Amino acid sequence: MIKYTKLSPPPGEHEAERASNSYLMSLVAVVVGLPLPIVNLIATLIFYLGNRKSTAFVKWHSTQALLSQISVLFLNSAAFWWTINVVFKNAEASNWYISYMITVLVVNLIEFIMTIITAIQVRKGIHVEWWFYGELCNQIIGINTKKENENIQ
Amino acid sequence: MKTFSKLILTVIGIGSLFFIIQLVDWVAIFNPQKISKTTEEKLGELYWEIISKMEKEVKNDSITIPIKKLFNKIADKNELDITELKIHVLQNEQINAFALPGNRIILYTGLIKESENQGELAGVICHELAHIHKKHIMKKLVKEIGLSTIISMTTGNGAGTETVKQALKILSSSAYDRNLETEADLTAIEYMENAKMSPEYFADFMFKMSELMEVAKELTIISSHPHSEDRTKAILDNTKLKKDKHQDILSTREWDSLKNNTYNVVN
Repeated sequence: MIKYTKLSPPPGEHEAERASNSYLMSLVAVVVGLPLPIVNLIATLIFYLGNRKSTAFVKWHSTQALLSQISVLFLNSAAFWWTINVVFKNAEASNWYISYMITVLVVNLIEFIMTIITAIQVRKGIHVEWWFYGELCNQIIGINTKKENENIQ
Repeated sequence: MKTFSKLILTVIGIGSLFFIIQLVDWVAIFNPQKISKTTEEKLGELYWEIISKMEKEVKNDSITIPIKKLFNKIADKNELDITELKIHVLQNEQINAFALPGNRIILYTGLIKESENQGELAGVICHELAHIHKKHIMKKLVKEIGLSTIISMTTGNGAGTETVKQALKILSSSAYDRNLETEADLTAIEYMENAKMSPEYFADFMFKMSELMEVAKELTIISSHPHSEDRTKAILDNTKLKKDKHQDILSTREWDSLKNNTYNVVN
């Protein structure tokens, strides 16, 4: 689910802090954004845009944080609107609805725990790649990372 | 390709999780209807406690029995279960009726006085029954005062009498949103027609209200039921049972007695 890699040379102290912050942004936004799922995405998007000109390590991790938030956004938005329909309109709190809400809760919980673990590891300068998102990030900015790493070396 | 395979596996994983979770009968475990019913009953009791302190309930059998007869006949003809329904007639000159959470309907004596015939009164009764049957009351409360306030009201945390009074004011004086009112009107037409009563009388009453509201506007009194004119038209457009096919529920003697006794109570 999570792949740890020690980079050589390791990212600088300032770099690791900024990269770790991109994950923390989504955690802070969870508190502010509940129950609106869009707030998390906006927070990570702002952080991502702010770090476009940053180093490869920071860029890579802010992209991973952003991509993970986009995926959860779809699930959470459906849960949000379904709940609105149950509370304000005629939709029934059926078994499907409760099951979906539990699924969304489980997915969010996994994402939340993974985010905390990743934020801690990235802060230590360890490169953390998530299942699927890591691959995607490598495809989006992987080439640049390689180039920049080469430049650093 | 590797990334795409991982995406497909992730989607399948979440889908499988959802499928496994839905195999459990969560409705039986959480019983959302029971939770909702208990909340409604608690709210209803809370409101009634306050209303009964502020207003005088009419307990005179000569008034309550014919009113209950109207309710029972309408419910019977529409196969509505009203065994848990609590009907309260309050001594108040305002022309008003409203439904409270927890199966309670409040009728003001002003409404009975203003009704020229039992068709008009039955129209209003059917309208309020429709609000209850279509579960509009909780929807309105959630929309107007918020879910958190309702929860704190029922659990007794933080919400004082003022909050409850405010919520009560919303239920008794402001209208439901237009969609809910339209749905209640259309359902009321159905109820009346099933009870062999002509909804044209209900339309008459709504028209009378719209005229009264015009006067109220000039006097800058806030109107509590907007769009009455539109609603009158909509009721007439959807009515199939005309006045000539109308059948009263109460005998002329019972109706006259109800009206006279209401005047005697008020005056």
